[in-house]
Amino acid sequence: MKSKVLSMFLVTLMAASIAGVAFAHWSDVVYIDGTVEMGELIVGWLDIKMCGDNEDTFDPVKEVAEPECWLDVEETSVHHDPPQTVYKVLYIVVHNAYPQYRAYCKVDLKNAGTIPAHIVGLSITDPDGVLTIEPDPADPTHYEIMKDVDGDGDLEAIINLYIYKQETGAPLVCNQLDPCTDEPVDIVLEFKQEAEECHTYRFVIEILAVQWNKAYLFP
Amino acid sequence: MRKKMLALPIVLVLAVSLFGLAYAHWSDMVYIDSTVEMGSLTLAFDYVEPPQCVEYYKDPNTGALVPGEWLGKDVGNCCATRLELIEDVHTGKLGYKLLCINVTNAYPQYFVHTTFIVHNIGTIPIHLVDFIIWDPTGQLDFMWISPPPASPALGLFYKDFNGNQAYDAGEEIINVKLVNFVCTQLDPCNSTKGEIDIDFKQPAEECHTYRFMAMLVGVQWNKAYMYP
Repeated sequence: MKSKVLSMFLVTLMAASIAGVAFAHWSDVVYIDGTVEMGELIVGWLDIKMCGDNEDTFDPVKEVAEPECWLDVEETSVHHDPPQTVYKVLYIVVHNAYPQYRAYCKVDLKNAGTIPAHIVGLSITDPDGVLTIEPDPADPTHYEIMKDVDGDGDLEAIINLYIYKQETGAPLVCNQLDPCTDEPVDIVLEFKQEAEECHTYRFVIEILAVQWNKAYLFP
Repeated sequence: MRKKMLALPIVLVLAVSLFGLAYAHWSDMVYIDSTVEMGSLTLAFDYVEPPQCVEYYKDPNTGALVPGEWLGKDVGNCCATRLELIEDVHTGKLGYKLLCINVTNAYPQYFVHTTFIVHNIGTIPIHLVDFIIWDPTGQLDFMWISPPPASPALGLFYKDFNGNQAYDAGEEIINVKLVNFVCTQLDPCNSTKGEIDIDFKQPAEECHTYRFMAMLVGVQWNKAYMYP
């Protein structure tokens, strides 16, 4: 019995020493601590400088129609100090419009983020589906808003829409907007003879901006 | 009885004399004075040459990486610094235990390459056996696509947006490429230069801060076989 206990002890000791040989080794480590702070891409309307019309050019001058503009859906950059708030939606409502009436809105489009933005697209759609909007191939700042008013199958232009950079008159698309810079923009609505009385026309302009280094994906 | 009494002292005398014979002999000794000076196994980021962060963008026409940022703008920033200075007690050599890589204002398709040197400042050869990378905040998961010892080793951090506990396409946040570390032996006083490259993918979230930790593990070279 005694010899069994002794041999068991010896075996355990041997096993432990073998295990010791296997596990007892030195190791060392070095660490890498990486922190990544992502930037932000926010392009929005900063403010409305002016909203007006051409009624003061008519003779006699009358106050008939009235454009109304406001901003909605705010977004605030967290990176700016102090924080910069811009708005995603610019509403333009023209009341009591008539042919030869011209309404305009002067607004600032701002890159409130930290990444340069490239304006790659501008699309105009009618959410009600009654209007057809086509860009003017001769003038990239001009879009024709059309409708088959008389039902003859042909589209008639009812509103001319112009959207361009205030300073140069160049189109918005294909422009870069660096962080913290804003671009004064003019939006002009020109009502044509074919526009129908007592009708409400609605259209949505969507300006698409992407990070500048991906602009090549939008030729 | 008297005979017995006589025999007892004789036996005692005999026994004592026998013992005396056993102990009373010349003796001499030799000594072994042994001193073991253990070596040191110390892996560190190089003290002399600082790490370097370089920005790149991918040329859409050629697919090649070009130093700088698209159209020469200065948007993102990166820097790499060493922290936690150490000194190996045996060699007196200096090094750093921690390398910090800081990237600010990052955006998709921003490439940051960080080159750095790891140095064996101890006295025992080191075999680099593993590179463990993780997100200490727990918001990202990491998986190897081509794990070390492949060089370059490729992996990615992803965010489990849909919560299915697995990576799905469209969840990648940061690509990680590791060049020239794992399975390298570093003899004492030797160093090796490698790099860790990261680039940001489209699903990376704006205004977020991502953090990752990486651990380069080295063991004594003669035990490297335990890390197949």
